[in-house]
This record gives sequence, structure tokens and C-alpha cells, in this order.
Amino acid sequence: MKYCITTLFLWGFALFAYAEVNLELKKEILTTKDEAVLIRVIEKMPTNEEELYLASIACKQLASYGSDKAVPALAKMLSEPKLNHYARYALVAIPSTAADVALVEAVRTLSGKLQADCIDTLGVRRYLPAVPEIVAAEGKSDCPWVRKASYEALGRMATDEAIAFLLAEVENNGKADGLATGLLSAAEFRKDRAVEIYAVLAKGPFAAPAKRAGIYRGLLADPDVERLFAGLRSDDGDIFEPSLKAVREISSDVDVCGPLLAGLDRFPVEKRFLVVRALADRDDDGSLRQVFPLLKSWCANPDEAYRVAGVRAMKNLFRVLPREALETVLNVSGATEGLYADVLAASVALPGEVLDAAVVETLKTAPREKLHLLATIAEQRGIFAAAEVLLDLCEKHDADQPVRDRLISAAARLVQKDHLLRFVADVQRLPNETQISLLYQKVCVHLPQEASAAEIVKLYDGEKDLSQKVKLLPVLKVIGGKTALACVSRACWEAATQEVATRILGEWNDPQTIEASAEVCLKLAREATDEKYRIRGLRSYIRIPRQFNLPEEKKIAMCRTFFDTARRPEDKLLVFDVLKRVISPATAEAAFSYASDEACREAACRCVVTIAKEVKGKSPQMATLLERVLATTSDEEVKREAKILAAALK
Amino acid sequence: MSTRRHFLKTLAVLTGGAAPLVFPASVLGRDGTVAPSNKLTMGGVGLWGRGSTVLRTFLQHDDVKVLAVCDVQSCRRDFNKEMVDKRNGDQACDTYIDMRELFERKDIDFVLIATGNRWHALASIWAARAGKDIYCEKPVSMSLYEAHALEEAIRQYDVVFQAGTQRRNSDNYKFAVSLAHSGKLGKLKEVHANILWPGTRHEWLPGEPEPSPEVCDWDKFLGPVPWRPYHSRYVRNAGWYRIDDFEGEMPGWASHTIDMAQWAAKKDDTVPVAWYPQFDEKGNQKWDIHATYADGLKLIMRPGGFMGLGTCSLRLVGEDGWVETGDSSRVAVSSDRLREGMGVYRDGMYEGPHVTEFLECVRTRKDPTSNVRVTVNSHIACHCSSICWKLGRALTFDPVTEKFNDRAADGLGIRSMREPYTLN
Repeated sequence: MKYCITTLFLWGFALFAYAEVNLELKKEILTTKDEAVLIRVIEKMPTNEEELYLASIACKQLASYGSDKAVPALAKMLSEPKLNHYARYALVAIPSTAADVALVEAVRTLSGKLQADCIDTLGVRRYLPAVPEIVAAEGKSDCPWVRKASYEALGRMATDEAIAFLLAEVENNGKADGLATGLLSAAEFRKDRAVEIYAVLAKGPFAAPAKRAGIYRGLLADPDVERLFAGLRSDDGDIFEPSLKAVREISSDVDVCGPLLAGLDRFPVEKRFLVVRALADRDDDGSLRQVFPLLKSWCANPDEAYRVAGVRAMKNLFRVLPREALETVLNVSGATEGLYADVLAASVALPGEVLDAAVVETLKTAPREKLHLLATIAEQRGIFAAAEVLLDLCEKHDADQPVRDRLISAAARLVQKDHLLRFVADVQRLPNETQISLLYQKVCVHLPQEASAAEIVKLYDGEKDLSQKVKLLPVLKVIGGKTALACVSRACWEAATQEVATRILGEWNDPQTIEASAEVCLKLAREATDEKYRIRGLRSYIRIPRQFNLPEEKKIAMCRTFFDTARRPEDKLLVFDVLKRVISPATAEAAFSYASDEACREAACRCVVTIAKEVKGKSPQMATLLERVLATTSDEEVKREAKILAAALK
Repeated sequence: MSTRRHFLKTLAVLTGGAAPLVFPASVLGRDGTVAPSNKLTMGGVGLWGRGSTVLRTFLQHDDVKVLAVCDVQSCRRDFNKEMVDKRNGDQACDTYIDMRELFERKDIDFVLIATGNRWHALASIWAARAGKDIYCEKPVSMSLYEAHALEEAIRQYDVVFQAGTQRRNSDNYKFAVSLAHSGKLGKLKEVHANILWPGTRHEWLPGEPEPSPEVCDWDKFLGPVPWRPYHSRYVRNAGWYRIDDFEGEMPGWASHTIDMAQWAAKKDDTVPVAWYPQFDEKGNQKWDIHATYADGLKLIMRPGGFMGLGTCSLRLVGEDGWVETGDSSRVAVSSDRLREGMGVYRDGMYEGPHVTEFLECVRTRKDPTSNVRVTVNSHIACHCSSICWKLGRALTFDPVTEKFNDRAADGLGIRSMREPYTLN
């Protein structure tokens, strides 16, 4: 037993000593900009995990500070499975052709995954002279990773030779991993050959996503109207959809709208809707003006499908032709649910008050199914005048939960001071406390604080029903501000409301009145007749310096006030929870000042040590304080830590 | 995207056959069911922790059916399958170890990617190449190179992409941004984004015996990061953070706040051109980083000093006032007058939750709010910040070429990968 303990002790000491040595080296590696130091670390090939770890850090640093001098040592690492990646962390970033040459050499001599990794890094670096080497490597290897890395790297390099190679691979290896990616990269880097490459992708034996990319990008790069027509007429979704997307995004320099509108008859009916909608989605005023007459005629079509499609496409037209678009949609007949929804959704973009008034009027008499949409429109347009109507409707649909919830949520965003009390009354009737709280948060985001609080306080003062009265205190908490705080403070001293009010005070989170609330808490802590409320006031007080961003001196002063006010030892200890979060000699000194209290001595010493651990650099003041801790504490662990820290900080 | 399925859904949307997703079917007088042909089918990858939460959000949508889940760990595959089967009322959810097999399925419309950060860009690119629409948790990239590659792939393959940054769909942030866009704050001078520690971990746990690939496929778990020996702590909870040895906390957190700062400043199509680390009076480098856009607007990234309105704090400072908000939902303004007459929305803002918007965009083929262009730019800003902090010196950056004026900085913009887990 004694032998075991001794052995364990010796091993522990050895590990501790070893760990100490390497922490120093780690710190040196992390802070040095001296390339020679870093090279020395990696020159000695790691033989154990610790060395591997330190080498990994050195390589990351060499990404920033390495030069061609580091390349030989890094190159040696490329052939080691566990080191290759770390070496490439540095090689990928070193701006010297020595790095490229080393990688090319590795491609020549390695195989399999390691070879693929080196090819990948050459691709990232875009070292164009490596193209022949990579082509050769791909030809000799039957490793799928080498093939993938080669295709992708050659795509990034995008020389004529690289592109020729990739194109030649299409017929035999179209579905091979990486080929489509390589071709897409090549098209990005070589705009002069993009059209050609995209055409190959569009027609080649590639997976659907790559073909779609080829079609879509190809049309953007070369907006050929006949090709666009062919794509739009196709029944293959993988051809049709990217073509449709291209309709939206082809440059406004090219007139796609005219030819497509002229040739609309060439499409089946359901496709016409999609094509015209895509034209109406273009970010191009010219196209929008061209398409408007057609949309107008559709809005008047006896076939509902046309009317719906016409209205749905109208949204952007409100920006370009607002009056004409508005007249058109308002005259659409046969307002079925879908059509109605889209007429109004389309109108959200329309500026001006005329429509706002129309929305409010429509809300008043709208059937149930339309209320959600109208509420959304009112919200999005910020129609404050709709608030009262929404509240009326909430009351009317009180039993219809989904509708009621939607309406009151919309009202929360629109209610102004004038309707606040009514809103509060409606919210108070909801059964779900979480929902209530969220609604108050919503309304308080945009309401003027003091004016709103004044309204609630008026209501509070006039309320005779105690159960309703106390429900208003949480509202005041959410609103915040001086007026609200004054009311909550009053309520803390009234027997009927004290229980709720003191809890609210303990949750007060308005940073602009937090210090004022601290005074209220302190008064409660000192003067409340019931000990329960004295303790509550005290704990609410100390929460503030812990939770809120106050100046350091203020926090220290509040801790002192708290400490002097607290009577119970378990309360006094709460000061350390505050002080340990502020790392400075001043807070450490403040913490230690409480060591004179027997019940707090050890906690004070522990707090100083906790703070000292976080101090950066040297601090003679902290070191001196820690020596005082050493002389004060009887906790062996604290003594040990204080000793180490004092030495480090001196 | 499978062709026939998608064509029918697009046509249905355009000709009135399918209602906008914002409104539950029950409200529109239907019986609450969604026709199978109108359902969107989904696969999920790496669904643990945050991923599990997002999966549950998708499962709440009547018009989504999860067909398959993928994870390199059997315990997580089984857990998610059980959740999905219970929701679907059958045992039909398939499980995969290799996400590429899931991506190849023709019957899946979109995928949810919630793996460890190191995988996000690569998994998204693979999914795009397979024609899948993508909802990917943030951060979507761990280097400048990855960000660029991701955007290129989404553009080339023309799929719908939404980053899981969420807050562009939250009322309080929308309000703050609306205030900035309304002009009520005057000309914006500074946008402040809350960040965490900008550094990178360099942790290493001693090797343990590797479990069988069926239990935990260690090679696939590592994915694009360099090999290191297996340790069980890496694969538990969020232990994978220890492996993220390239970029650490910065893009993971700041992808939220810098994203919103860019949105508020109307800089979604660019990034700052100058970056400055910050030092205290003793010369110690702070976590704070300042940056400047081409027009002089400042982006101030800092870990603290906000008002305490919750995590992910955002502060917008103009010549005529300021607004600050955070995850508590509370909004603070320099003057109450700024709130008067202000609604939450402005043009182009989407009403509704993040996931709902994504599903709608899958149907309509429109770009969602947190689309790839917007997201990639905010991530480029994150990566530039991180690089500036690591080097501890001022840098200039060209948003067009995406290069610094500093060789060491450019070196930190790219992370080497290993086959077959490469971006190219």
C-alpha cells in the first residue's frame, strides 16, 4: 500500500513536471513570430502524442510566419499519415514557390490518400505548373480519392490543358466524384470558356444537380433565347426549373421578356403561369412594364386559374406601376379564398395610406378565414389604426383560440399608448402565462416607456380587485422605467401586494433604472418588518452587481453595503459570487477585506485565489495579496494554489 | 432537389393550390391535414444539443416530414430516430453514418445541418452539390476560404440556404434595425456588436481506444480537421469545441451580432476595410476589435460594456440618438420619443419565425432573410476580426479580392483539409 502510494506520487510528480515543461514550450510556440523556433519544433519528427500536439501548433503558426526556410522540414512531414495534414496547414499558406515545388514532389512520390491530399493543396494554391504532374498522377492511380482531388484541383487551375483533360474525362467518367465540381470551378476561373463548359455540364452524363447548374449558369453566361425556350418547353424538371430560374436572373441588358411573351402560346397553360410569374419577378423595370398588360388581362379572365396567377404575379408591379396595379387587383372578380389572400399579400408593398384605410375597413367585416391574412397585412404595413379593430375582433373571437391568438399577436405590434389598457385587459384573460409574458414583451418593444407606464399605473391605482391589481405588476416590470419602478416600489410596502411586488423587484431587469431599483431593494432589506422580505430585498440587491454591467468601483461599493447589511452568514457569502467575476487587484482586495469575518475567512481567501488565476501577466499587488492569503487561510489546497500563483505573478 | 416533386410544389404555390405557410391549415377552414404531395421532406445531420432543438421546431410543422437522420454516433442516431418515428407514427425513419448517403436520396427536399462547427461549410457544400436546400446552423464557415467556397456552391447549384442565425426574425432586433433604417437615429456613426473571446483553443486530450465505427466513426467525426487520437470527451456534449483548432469562439458567437450590425448599417453586401486590435493602458491586448467600413462607419466589437439587455447585445449609435437591445427582448433608446410612431417592420422584413420562413422559401424558391450572401459577409467580418486579433496589429482588407495587405493575415484565411473531406 505504502509502495503504491509512493509510486503514484512519483508518477504524479513526473507527469506534473513534464506537463510544466511542455506548457512553457507551448506558450513559446504560440507567441513567437520567429520562424526558426517553429522550425526547430517540427524538424524533430514527433514520436509521441505530446510532440505531435506541439508540432501541430507550430505548423499552424508557420502558416502565418513561415517562409521557404520552413519548407524542407514541412516537406518531410508530408509522407507521414499523421503529419501530412499539419504540414499542409502551413504549406497551403506559405507564399513561396518552394512550397509548391515540395508539394509537386510529394505528388510524384506518394500514392493514395496522402497523394490526394497534396494534390488538393496544390489546387487550393492554384499552382498552374503542377497541371501536367497532376494529370500524370491521375492517370497512374486507381485510387478514387486521387481522381477526385485531381479533377477538383485541375478545375481550380483551369489552364487550357487542365480543361482539356477534364472535358476528355466526361465521356468515360461523367459520374465520377469531383468531375462536375472541377468543371464548375473551371468555369468560374475561366469566364472565356464558361459557356463551353456549362454546355458540357448541361448535356453530359452528370448527376442532376450538376446538369441543372450547367443549364442555369449556362443561360446566365450566354442568354440565348432559343435555348431558353427549349429549356422552358422541356417536360424534364431538371431542365425546366433551372431555365425558369434563369428567366428571373438573366441580365436586363438582354430582352427576354419580349420574346417570351410573344411566344407564350408555345407553352402549355400551367407553364405559362410560371413563365410569366418569373418575368414579373425580374428585378428590371422594363420587363415589368412589358408584362403588365398581360397580367392585367389575366386578372380579368373568366378562368379563375388565370386570375389567381395574374394576381400572384402582380407584387413587383406595385413598385413600378403602383396606381395601375392597385386598380387592377381591386377590380378582380370572384374573390375566392386563394385569390383574396393573394390580392392582399400583393398589396403589402404598396406605399401610402389609402390602402391602410381599406385594410382597416375590411378587417371589420372580414370572415374568419381572412382574419389571419388581414392581421398580417396590418402588421407588416404598420397600420396602427388597425389596433383597435384587432382588439374588437379578439373579444369577438375569444373562444376561437387560433384566430384570437393571431389577432392579439398582431395587436401587440400595433397597439399604441391609447389602446394599451384595453390590450392589457384582453391579454390578462389568456390562460397561458408564457403567452402573456411574450405579448407584453412584444408590445413594450415599440411603446414609449414612461407614457405606457403612466397608463398602467393609472389602471393599477384604480383597480379594486386585488387579484387583477397584482397582475399589472408584471406588466410594469416588462415596461420598465422610472414611473413603473416607483409603482412597484410602492407596492412593496403594501401588505396586500407585497408578496408579488417584492418578487417583481427581484426580477427587475431594466438596465436604465437598475441602480434606482437597487436603492429600493436596500430599503426593503433594512426596513421591512417581516424577515422574509428583508432577505428577499437583500438578495435582490446583490443580484444587481452580479448580473449587470456596472463600474467596478460601484460593484465593490455595493458589495460592501450588502455585506454590512446582511445578518446571516449564508447571505454574506454571496458577495464573493460578485467579486470573483471581476478580475482585478481592487476586487481581490475587496474580497480579502471580508476575511476578518470569521465565517467568511476561507471563502474570502478562495475568492482571491480564483481572481488571481485569471490575472494576465505580472501583478506585484496580487502577489502581495496572495502572501497575505497564505498567512490567513488554513485550507491546504488554497495555500498551495496561492503559493504557485504568488510566484508566477511576482 | 427531386424534380417532379419540386415542380408540383412550385406550381401549386403559384396557382393557388397551397396556402402560404404562415397560416395554419386549420384556420383556413381545412381539416388540419396537409396532402402528402404538399409535404416537404427532410433529412437531419448532427442533431444533438442545438440540433435537437431545431429538429423539434421543424417537427412542429404539419407540412414537413423527416425521412432520415445522420450521426456518426449510434446513441444519437437512435435517439433522433426515436423522436422522429414517434412524430411520424411509424418506424420508417432511416439512419445514416455517412451524410453523403443521405444527401443522395432523391426523396429528400432539404437538410438540416447541425454538426460541430468544423463541418458546417463542407456539409452544406456537399448538400448543395446534391441539389438539397439547406438550413445550416451557424457559424457557416471557419475560414475566409470556406466562406467563399460556400457562397460559390450555393450560387452554382442554386439551392435555398438559410443560416440558423435566427435573430433577424426577432421583434426587438427588428425594431432596433427599423429605427436605424427609419433615419430617426440620424446618420449612423457606430454599430456595436457583442463578441466573445476571439482566440482559438489548442487543446489536446490523450488517446483512448477508439470505439468501433458503428458506435462512433472517429474519422468522420473529425471530418476536415487533422487527425488526433480519440478521446471520449470530444464526442460528449459540446466536447467537439476542443477540436475546433482553427477559428474558435469568434464566428460561433459574433455571427449573430455582427450579422445584425451589418444589417442595421445596410452593409449586407460588404465588410469593413480596416481592422484595429485594442490595447489597455498597460499595453495588454484586449478582446475588443474595431473596424471601419469604406464610408467611415465604425464597427465596434466588444465582449462587454453593454447595458445588460441579455446576450447577443447590439447597439446602434447615430448622430441623433442610439438604440440597444439583446436577447432579453428589451429595447433601450436614448429618448422615448424615438419609439413614437415606430412599428417593428420595415420593407422586406419577414413576419414569422426563422424556420417557417425557410420552409416558405423552399416552396417559393426565394432567398430567405439569412441567405448565403448576407451570412457569408457577416462571417467574413468575423474571420477578419479574429485574424486581426490573433496578429495583434492593424490590417486593411479588400472586400472584393478578400485579401489583406498582410501576408501573415492571408495565411490565416485558409484552413487545409484532408481527403475525402475537402472543399474543392
